[in-house]
Amino acid sequence: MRPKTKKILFVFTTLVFMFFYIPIIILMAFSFNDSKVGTVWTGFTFKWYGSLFSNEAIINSVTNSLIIAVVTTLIATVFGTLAALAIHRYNFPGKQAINFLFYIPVVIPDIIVAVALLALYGWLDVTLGIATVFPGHVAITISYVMLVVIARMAGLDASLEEAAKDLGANEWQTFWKITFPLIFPGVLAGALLAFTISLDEFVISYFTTGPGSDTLPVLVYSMVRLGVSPEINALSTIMVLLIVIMVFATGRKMSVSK
Amino acid sequence: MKNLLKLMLAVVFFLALVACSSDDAGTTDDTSGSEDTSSEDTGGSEDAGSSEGDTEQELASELNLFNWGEYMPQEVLDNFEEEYGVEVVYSTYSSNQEMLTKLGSGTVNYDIVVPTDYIVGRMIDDDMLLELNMDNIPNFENIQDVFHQRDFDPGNVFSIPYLYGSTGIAYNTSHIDGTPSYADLWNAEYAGHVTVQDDPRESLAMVLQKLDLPMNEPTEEDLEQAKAELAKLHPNVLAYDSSPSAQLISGEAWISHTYSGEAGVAMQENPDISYTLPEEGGELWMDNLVIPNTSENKYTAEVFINYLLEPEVSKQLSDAFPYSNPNQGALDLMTEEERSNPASYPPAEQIANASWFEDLPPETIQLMNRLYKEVKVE
Repeated sequence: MRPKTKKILFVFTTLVFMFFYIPIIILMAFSFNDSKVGTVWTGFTFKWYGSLFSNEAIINSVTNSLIIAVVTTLIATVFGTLAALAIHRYNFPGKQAINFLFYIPVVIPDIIVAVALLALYGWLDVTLGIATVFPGHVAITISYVMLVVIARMAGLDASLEEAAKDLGANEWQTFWKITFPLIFPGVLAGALLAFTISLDEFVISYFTTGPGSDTLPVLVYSMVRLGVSPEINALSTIMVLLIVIMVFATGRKMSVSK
Repeated sequence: MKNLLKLMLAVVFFLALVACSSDDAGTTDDTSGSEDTSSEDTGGSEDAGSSEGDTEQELASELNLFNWGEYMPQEVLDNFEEEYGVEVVYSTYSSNQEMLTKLGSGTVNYDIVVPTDYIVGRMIDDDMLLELNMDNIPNFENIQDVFHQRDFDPGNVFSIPYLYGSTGIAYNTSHIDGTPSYADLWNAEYAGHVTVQDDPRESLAMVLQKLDLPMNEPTEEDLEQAKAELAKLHPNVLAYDSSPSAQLISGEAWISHTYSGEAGVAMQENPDISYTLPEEGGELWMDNLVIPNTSENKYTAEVFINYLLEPEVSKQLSDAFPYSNPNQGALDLMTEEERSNPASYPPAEQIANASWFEDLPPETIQLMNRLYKEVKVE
């Protein structure tokens, strides 16, 4: 590569990364700002971290968000993987149609799922609470897990499974000893994707949370009237750090399992 | 083989269905659980004696409160839980529309919600509210007379004032002499230092007031005229922003058409900022405590409302958030300085001169949205 091209590429890459990360860095910096108003710097403080942990509303909503994300991830990963296995391995009548049905939740706007669920709950006389958030989250995340796992399976060598069976392993053993370890990176990626989507999800949560089950995005949105408090900056900083650690950890695990 | 696959697929779908329906079952369990416990007497109901004719005199164990975000300090809830043994389940919303959508879906059992004035009127018309038993709310007399018997609920049958505020002018006294009016936003000397509410209803109402046209029932011609006037203001505008406190504090904005709450936040950080209701009027709003007909704990809700109206408790509300308190008892507890803060407590004659927002027909709101967008695009 010519030095000039190298230089241009370097500048370009730097700009792209600045575009990604500058807002996050500013957000983190302002979590240490003394002023309650987000954009004026008045002094350095840790007080927002202290008041964050005594703010019951925020802590509750974080707990809700985490519970919902974990349960959603578990359900979506199990069923998404099962669906991927079924679609990848077997031919059956209506396979195309079923495959297609799995793509719909990916492209359908969340607001439609949300309003449909709210109407359904109204019709069934269900009272909103934390449990009514799961179906919506699971419905949109299953498809993502399935798509990621199927992509992983496409590169799978079918002869490995055949060899296992040939050597006397039954279906169950073949799955856990051969198939699952091979598709594991895909399953993990799907699970992480599901977790992130569920944690971020706003529209469906907004319509399906009931008394005391606000998720974090819903709570933050409800604060706009008075300007978002720096406690949220503090919380975001903690979350960004946790996510960075998580990504590093799983990145390592994935490269090991390869 | 093929049959086996079909069977497997069927099992997968069946499991998926079970997973979904068991979630639903979980919810119904939750509610029936809370109903079971709601009849328990939790004691500590000293106030119960005041309502002998009422069938429902025992405090429930839980109270579902649905309020605006950042609108009630945690200590108020904690103290209530301690004093009355009722757990308050607190959830927040960001707009009247969100609250109405949830209530209208029939899927929530909130005991208290806090709609803005003209929304109370709409909810009364739609039969969404329960009549209050005033015997349980003796502290209502603490509310200042000005805020009794408002048009949307004459006689205060359904609603109790919570907090109020206004939209007027926040201004920087080091750049602006005297008390500004809405007309001063158009002053060419302030070009580049003016902010206007980023909301079609708010900004057009301001222009209508400036032109001395009816703010609550504008005709199409009125609105077209207001649009033209707003377009003239455009070169002066630094930002269309409903939370300009940061620009006010930094000194970028000299004169802002904004909420009194925003002005209050800015005044705490920058002593040069002041606030006034303009001579054209300005707009007032008030949020109100009401009990929706989905409530299963009406008596407990009334006890809670009465608790909120105690002067000390009410003062905690307006101490924590920069809105104005309609509670005379709370005002009496404040320092002279707090009471004379123009952002929180504009002089009585300014209040009398200001207008309240009223409910508009959807066509007018749509027209306002369209005109406002056109101004911003041009």
